[in-house]
Amino acid sequence: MKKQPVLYGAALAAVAVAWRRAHSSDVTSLRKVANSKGITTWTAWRKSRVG
Amino acid sequence: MTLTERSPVEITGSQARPEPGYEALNPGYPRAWWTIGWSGDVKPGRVASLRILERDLVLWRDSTGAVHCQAAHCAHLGVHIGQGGSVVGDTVRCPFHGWCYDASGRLAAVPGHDRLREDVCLPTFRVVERYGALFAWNGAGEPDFDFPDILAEAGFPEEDVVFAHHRWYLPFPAKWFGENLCDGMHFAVAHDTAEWGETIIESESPTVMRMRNVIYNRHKWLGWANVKKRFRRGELVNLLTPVTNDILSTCWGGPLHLVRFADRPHILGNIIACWTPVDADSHLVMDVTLIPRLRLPGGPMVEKAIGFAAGLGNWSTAIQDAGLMMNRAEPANPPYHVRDRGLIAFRRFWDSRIVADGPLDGDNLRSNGARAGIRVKDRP
Repeated sequence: MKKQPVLYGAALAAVAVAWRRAHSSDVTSLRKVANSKGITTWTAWRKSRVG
Repeated sequence: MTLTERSPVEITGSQARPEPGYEALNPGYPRAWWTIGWSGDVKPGRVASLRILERDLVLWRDSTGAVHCQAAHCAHLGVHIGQGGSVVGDTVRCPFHGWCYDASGRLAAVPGHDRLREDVCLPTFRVVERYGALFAWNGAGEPDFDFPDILAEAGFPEEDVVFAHHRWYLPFPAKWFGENLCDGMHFAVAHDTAEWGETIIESESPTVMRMRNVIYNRHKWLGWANVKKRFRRGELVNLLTPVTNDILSTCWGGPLHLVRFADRPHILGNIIACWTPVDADSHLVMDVTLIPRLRLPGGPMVEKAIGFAAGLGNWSTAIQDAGLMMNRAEPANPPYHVRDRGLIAFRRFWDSRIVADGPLDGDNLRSNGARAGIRVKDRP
């Protein structure tokens, strides 16, 4: 039982490291390029609504 | 002559009288069936407005439930009927002076006046409702091909299929996106599925093209390396749409496609796709994904969940194209390569479907004009 906080902390740290590596990588992402111009799932869906 | 000395407006009726009948939405685009909306957009008694092929339109249902598509601006003083207009019986009513038009576009009623002008007509467009979607014919008079039986082409009976509809607005020309289905190399490189690819035209007629996009030396899709790469690119959802084999496309008239994966005999993975222009530089991705009908308790809910996931997968692929297309500036005379043969064939096909009075001047956004006849120099 006492080891649980350590495990949770380690898991959280692993996720943080993975997230940080993903966002600091130099892999070209077309999704990120599109998102930077404001084309996201949300905006593309919202602007398509027919009224 | 000063501004106060204008000659009176002539209203003798000497102008050519418009005849009720179906018109072309925009002759600058191919004569074909275009996906313009979903059945649910047009509710009984309501007028829905949309802009398609650089035209403002209204959609409404008559008392039998049939959908009608007409120009949005009243022939009287040009008010947008979709903004405050209503359906009265089997007519659509302008919110400004109450002029009513029937399904053929004829003036049917004017409040307080029983003698109707016969030279007033609202442009009307041919529309069919299939697969939970609305398809409009872009052409005057009779179509040169009926609305295709797309499920027969896919090989599935309609009672085994339900449809998931997805629609996205993207700020670049529709044709750039639609012609990607004839560009096998882009499936390999831009979508990061293989080393290279090409498009093979399997059959071609004046109205239909069938293509096979072949990709060579595929990457391993379900593996740790790919999962890691997708995570780093922020494209984890892309794992939902594995491209494990060739991609088949049947194209009717230019804009309307049935997209299939060659190695999947199953319903899931078949898409009725259309890229419908809003303006010259923007369009709607209209995606009807085929979902197997589940005949079990809670089936409709599971179908909806599958449809939603399929939509996310399709979007994850579409946004890869969007990342490239929004900053694209194609040269006036592209140095075509032998692997662009499919693309060139499609551009010729697209142009062959355009009936325009003026010459096609090479405007790449709507057509390819003179460039559609270009020869590939390094033909083997």
